[in-house]
Amino acid sequence: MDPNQSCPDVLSKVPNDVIDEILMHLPFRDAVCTSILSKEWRKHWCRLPQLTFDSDFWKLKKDIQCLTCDKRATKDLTSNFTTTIHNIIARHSGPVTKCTLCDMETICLKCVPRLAKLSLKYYHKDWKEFDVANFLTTNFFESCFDLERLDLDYGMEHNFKKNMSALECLEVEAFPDVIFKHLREVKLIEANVSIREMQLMKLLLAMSPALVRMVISPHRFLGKSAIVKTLAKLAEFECASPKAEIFLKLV
Amino acid sequence: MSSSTKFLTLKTCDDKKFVLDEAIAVRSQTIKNMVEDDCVSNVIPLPNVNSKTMTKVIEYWKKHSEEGVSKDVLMDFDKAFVKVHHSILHALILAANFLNDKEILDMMCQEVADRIKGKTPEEIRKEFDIKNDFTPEEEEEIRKENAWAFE
Repeated sequence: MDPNQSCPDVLSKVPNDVIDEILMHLPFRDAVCTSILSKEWRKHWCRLPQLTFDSDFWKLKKDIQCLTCDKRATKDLTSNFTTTIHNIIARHSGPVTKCTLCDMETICLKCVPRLAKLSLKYYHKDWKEFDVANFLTTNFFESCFDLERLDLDYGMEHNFKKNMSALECLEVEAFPDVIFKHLREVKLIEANVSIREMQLMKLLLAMSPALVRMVISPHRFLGKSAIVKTLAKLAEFECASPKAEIFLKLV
Repeated sequence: MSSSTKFLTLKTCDDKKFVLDEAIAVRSQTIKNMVEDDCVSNVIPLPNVNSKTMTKVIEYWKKHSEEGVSKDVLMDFDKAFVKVHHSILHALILAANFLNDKEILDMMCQEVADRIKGKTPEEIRKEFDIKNDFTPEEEEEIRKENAWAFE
């Protein structure tokens, strides 16, 4: 393999799975940008099995902050974001098995029936109100039939004492048709076990017949008595899966 | 495989032979499988790897098999190891893929990604000798398709 004689495009002989590997080492934005390199590169990113929409996905940090302070801007951005996601999903050729979203306030992922693993991370320390119940909307729940794992991580900066704004729809009764057939594992990290988080747990337990594990790491500022109370409440919830085990980690 | 130190002979595509301690050579999952399946005769042919690349791979294997090497030394070694011309980088990726050495492959993929990151398309094409076979119209169309990424 004399470099002078080899094909001009040195990466063209690299098998697709290695190209995938390379692209997965890149921020998603850079991976998509490789589509402009050549005809061969155009479709490479469309195969990626894991999509990460993090803060890098947004143009500027300012954009994210706008989401909370200006309603009109929020609307524009949300529709922008929806179009973008739609474009990505429409161009994507294979199944997405893992999807990671960071730094976002609300998500609605529609038409991703084969999504198997979803991680939601929340790191931002300045947002006034953040709640997972808002984060996962009714629409979101409707669209992910094949979800196997759900990780929710509030990060260390979560303002856990803040009283969260009301959201009525997270009553189990409001989701009569939602069943997570394949959901096997749920992780809630830095959970503050607020009423609405308890509702979320209740919902997930009641609607996931294949659930094997639910791991809850309470927020480090949470007292022991609150954790014990939580455990007692959790035990009362109806559980659709006979195999489900709930782990409540004491920090 | 119960004997003490065993040596394997690897033969590259340009007919060069490398005699190597089996314990080191099995860093390659491909070679390991061959040894475990007992289908190793005298010489293991490596039809997809040339001697220049194999020398680099063995250099890496030996360094990472040495005892008492500090993490810092290894990190410096790895840093220097990946700073090669893209043609060698490319040959190492193909070799690591064929030999099924996840460690080297992962390191190389990271290096390629680092060379792509933050560059303009034109710079990336130059770095990897990629020929732009789009017409200006097609290029414009792709930019529109994923406008968010090119902003």
